[in-house]
Amino acid sequence: MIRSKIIYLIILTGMILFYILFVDSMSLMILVITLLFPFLQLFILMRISRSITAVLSTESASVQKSTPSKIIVKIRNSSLLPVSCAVVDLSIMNTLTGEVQPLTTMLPVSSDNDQSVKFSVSYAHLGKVQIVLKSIKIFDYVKLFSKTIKCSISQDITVVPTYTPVSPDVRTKQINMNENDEFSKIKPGDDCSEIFNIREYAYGDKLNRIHWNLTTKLDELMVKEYSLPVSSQIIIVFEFCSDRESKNMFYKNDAAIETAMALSYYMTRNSISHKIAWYDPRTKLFHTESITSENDFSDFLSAVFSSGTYTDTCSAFLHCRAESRDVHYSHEIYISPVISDELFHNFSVLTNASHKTFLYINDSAIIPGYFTDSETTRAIAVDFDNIEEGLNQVIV
Amino acid sequence: MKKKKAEDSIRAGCGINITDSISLTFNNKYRINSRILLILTTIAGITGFTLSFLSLFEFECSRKMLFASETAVFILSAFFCMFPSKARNLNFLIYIAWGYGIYKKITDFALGYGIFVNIISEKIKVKTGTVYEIPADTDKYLCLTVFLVFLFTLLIPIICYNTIVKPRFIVIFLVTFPFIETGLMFGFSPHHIAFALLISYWVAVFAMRIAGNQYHTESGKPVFVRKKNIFVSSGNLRNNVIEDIGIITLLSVFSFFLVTAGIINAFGISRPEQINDKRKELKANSVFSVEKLISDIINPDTAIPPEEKSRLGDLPEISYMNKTDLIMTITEKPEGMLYLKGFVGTEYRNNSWYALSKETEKEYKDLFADFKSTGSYPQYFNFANDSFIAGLRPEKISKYSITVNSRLLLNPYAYTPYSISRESDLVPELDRHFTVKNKSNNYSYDAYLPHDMFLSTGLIADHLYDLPTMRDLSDAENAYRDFVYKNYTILPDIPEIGMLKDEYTYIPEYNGYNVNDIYIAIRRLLRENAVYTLEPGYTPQDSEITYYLLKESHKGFCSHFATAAVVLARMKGIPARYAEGYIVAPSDFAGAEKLESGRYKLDVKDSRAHAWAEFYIDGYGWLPFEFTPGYDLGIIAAENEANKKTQPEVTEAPETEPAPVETVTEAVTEAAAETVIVTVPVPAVPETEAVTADASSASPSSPDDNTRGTVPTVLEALLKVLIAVLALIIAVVAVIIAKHVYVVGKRARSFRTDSNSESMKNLYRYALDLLEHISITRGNMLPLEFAVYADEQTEGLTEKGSMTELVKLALKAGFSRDDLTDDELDFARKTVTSLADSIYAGKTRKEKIAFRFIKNLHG
Repeated sequence: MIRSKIIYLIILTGMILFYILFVDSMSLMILVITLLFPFLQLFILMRISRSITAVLSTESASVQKSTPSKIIVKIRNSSLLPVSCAVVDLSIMNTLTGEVQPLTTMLPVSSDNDQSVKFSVSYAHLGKVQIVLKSIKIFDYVKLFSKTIKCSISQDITVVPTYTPVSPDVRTKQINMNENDEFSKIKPGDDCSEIFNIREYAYGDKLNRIHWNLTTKLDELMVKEYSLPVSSQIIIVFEFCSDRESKNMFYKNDAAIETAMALSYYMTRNSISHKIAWYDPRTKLFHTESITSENDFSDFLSAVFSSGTYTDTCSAFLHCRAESRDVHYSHEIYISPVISDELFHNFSVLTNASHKTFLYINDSAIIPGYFTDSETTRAIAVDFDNIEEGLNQVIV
Repeated sequence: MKKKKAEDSIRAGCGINITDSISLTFNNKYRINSRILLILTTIAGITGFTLSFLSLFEFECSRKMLFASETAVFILSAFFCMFPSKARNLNFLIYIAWGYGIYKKITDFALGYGIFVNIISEKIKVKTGTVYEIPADTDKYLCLTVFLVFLFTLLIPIICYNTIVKPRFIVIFLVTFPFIETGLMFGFSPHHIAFALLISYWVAVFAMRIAGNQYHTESGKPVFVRKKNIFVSSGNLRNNVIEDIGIITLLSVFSFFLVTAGIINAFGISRPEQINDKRKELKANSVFSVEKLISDIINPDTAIPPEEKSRLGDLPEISYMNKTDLIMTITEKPEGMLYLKGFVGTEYRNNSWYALSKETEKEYKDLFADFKSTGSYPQYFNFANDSFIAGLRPEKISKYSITVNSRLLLNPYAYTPYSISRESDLVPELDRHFTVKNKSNNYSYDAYLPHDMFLSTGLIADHLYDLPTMRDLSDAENAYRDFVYKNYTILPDIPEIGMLKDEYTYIPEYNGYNVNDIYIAIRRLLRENAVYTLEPGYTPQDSEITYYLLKESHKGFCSHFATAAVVLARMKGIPARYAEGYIVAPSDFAGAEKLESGRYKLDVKDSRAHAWAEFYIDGYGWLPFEFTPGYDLGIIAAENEANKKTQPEVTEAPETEPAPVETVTEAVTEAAAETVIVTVPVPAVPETEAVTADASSASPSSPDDNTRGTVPTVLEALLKVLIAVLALIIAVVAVIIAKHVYVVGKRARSFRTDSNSESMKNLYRYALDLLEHISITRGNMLPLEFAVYADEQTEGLTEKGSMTELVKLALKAGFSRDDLTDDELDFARKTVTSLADSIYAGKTRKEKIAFRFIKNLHG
């Protein structure tokens, strides 16, 4: 723009000199045109600026980590005058990690036309990404003037974790309970308070299990199968802290969520009821989400991403310990990207869980000597770049 | 593990990765083919250019033939320009046909060129007569048509290509403007509508160029170019925008023109007087001129310092700014004209006056040494020297004390009257003029000024015999007399002088006593054959100024008259020379401020700058003789302030009326060609041949302005264009070289940063540029795949495997925590340098220049 203005001033000076030196009405005409030309450009610019509208959209509302997705900016110019140069200014921000990436494009816009520009963006970290179309700056034809059209249109994308399959050789041990509110969905039991299934009579079935009403209706012997009460006191607690001093913190956090998700997903597929718990620094509350199906994941992620990260590296653990004193868990899985002797010791001596697993998300650094298995506590180091290996060591 | 290594950059915001993939979709239906808009723009440009140029010089040629040939070439060229990619180069076929056409019609073409040049030179009046002799039996109409057909058809493919294929304003402007400028420079106005169309076309191409700034990639490249996170659309994005902009700008500017022209004509808006004054001021101040530059180049006398010469004829007109050049204080108001002499021209050649040459000075070194040793300089010889005056004519001479404060930028001379005392701040300069001792702007002297008007008006000759009988000359005066008669009667041996000599035999030869007769005869001759004007036009370089004044132009200002008088006087044997300085009339002192000291203070304006002739009269020394019409008996044309605004410039001499007369003065305003008749009352002149002059036009340009012109011929006009083009080329080359030096320097610095990794990254970028130049691009290949591919492709250019090593080092630089070692960086540097050298070595000379200076990839 400055260059154009300088060029214009030089031309104007030349035209003034030409007018002075050249004795003919033509020189006056040229001078007048030179003087009026910027006004013409300004008029065109103002005219176009009223005819430009923009729409921001995304290809999908959620995207997997490191998978490109499209951001679409649709510019409509309803004027008959084209735009020589439109500078579309976007800002992409991961609200969880605080990463910001500006994105600008300079392009001409045809007259009376809809133009769509599609950018392809991938996200290295989980979180909620806010895309904002800040403004569209348009120029006149010789770039003497510009006009900024404020837009402030935003779109959100959730970057979801990649599912890491847990190997089938993971050892599982179902613990039967005599009484409980939750029942197995795959095995029948003897708790008459909940019917597991109704089926045709088979040889060997107890007579007291015959469902007489149904037998009468169907004219066929039908028996009731009672449910098997199971333990539902498996809890996965993970830290989602942001220790800026720590290297690869964003990757470790991603790995923490992915580890929790992988375990949860596995348990869901195997009908093992469980809970995931985390700390919300905004409300300063410890949240517990019961996961019973895959549909629960989206709510969980949304809640986690809304919560954000915190700087106190073991907040989730401390809150879990404080709030779970009266609750007994069959298994507590604690996922944390940070570790210390004190933390590990406190975890080891927890008494409200029969089994405890500490999953330490690390970056292949040296594992401290105190991080070892004990009778009730299992210590597993998980490389954030390869969580599968660590997951395979987990016994649920 | 790449993720871990990239953590630092992630923190900077790189966790959000914008890929290179960008796509643009737009609705292309209902669009007029963009090329059609470009073709319409081009048609407007060609039409505007052709009609403007033809209207400037009104060539007599077949317009139909011209337009038909232009149309044919345009259709062909536009057709080729609409082809994709390299097929556009078929335009060269047109040039092959053009060359063949020239070959077949070479005679008509050459004659047409001669006629073309003759017409232009005649029109711009840089040369009278014809530049090229054209045989009488030539069909001028046909030849000129042939020439113009070839001229225009030469330009059309260039215009088409640089509008339709890629709008390049600079090229378009350089191709079309010089033709128009040839006319504009000499004040001719092209047809307004046509010129408006041409200007609209220029503005349209300019707007297209600016709007299409992003249109700079070559074909085959993506439609968007990425710089960090900024995506800029490239030349391959054709969404009709620049085409629309071109036609919109063209139409809007052209419409503005029409409206403006309508308003100007309807309301009769004319130029304000202040603008005309400003114009004169600007022209008067224009020390630099191309003509002067050319003249300096082609004239071997350029080594002579400017204060040692005075060039004539290169100013087509003179004007003044009414600024004060000298501030003079004087004890008494003088009664006569005061000639304040500065430059003295001794040797006359090539329409220029020069001071005494070094050779002559050397030859007469004894004479000048005597001047110095005795203090008897010729400047003190004249009639007013103190002893002479004191002894012989005390009653007619008074002593005045004068101080001068010069406001001139350069002060090579002290401006003095003809009679000053030896005791002063001044130093005599050989036999010519005085200089100031310490180069100061202020100096003072005592002067002996005559009471009688005639003694200082150049009419001294009438009264010569009233003066005392010639006294005996001293030895020094005798020696100087010999020198004067030998050196101040020399004329250039050129035919014009010979012709004048043969023609004016009726003027008596000088016999020592008939100065008056010769003076009157020359004066009459000049006034019968020439009139005074401020705008005599250029004097052609190959015409002698006296001959041109008397035989061709018949108009001139004081420099022309003074020069002619000196030439004619020398022709008749009178030692004469040319003088420049200021002239002050007694009337100038009418408004002089009287200071407390009793002195009178007078501002000597630039309008008092003047040139006159000096004759050497035995016993009296050098005396001023006035030959310029209008400078008589205390009259200076500039006195009449009322006439300044009307600028009457060409005067006709009344005949023998001694009574006051009215002179009809005709002034032609410069370009509008409006004739204004002004009646100027003029006092009586006691001489039969006396004439009057415009009151405001009595001066040459300031005496310190040594730009007394050269004569621009057609060759010079062409040379001027050539010099302009050369200057442009030099400027472009300078810019290219400057850019090259900057880019190469910056790149070299980028290879020697504090961080070896950073240096390596820069080296890798440079290597990628080099590889891209030889069409080895990475595309979607992984880095190491690309490395292997590059190694294969650059076999012979670099050592085997070196590209792989280079890529590995680049990866290390980009993703390793450890910095590169110096040896690794050295290896990378050598590899890249060797690659650049190998590519450079394999190129032709032209490609090398482009590779080195345009692409800036080597050096």
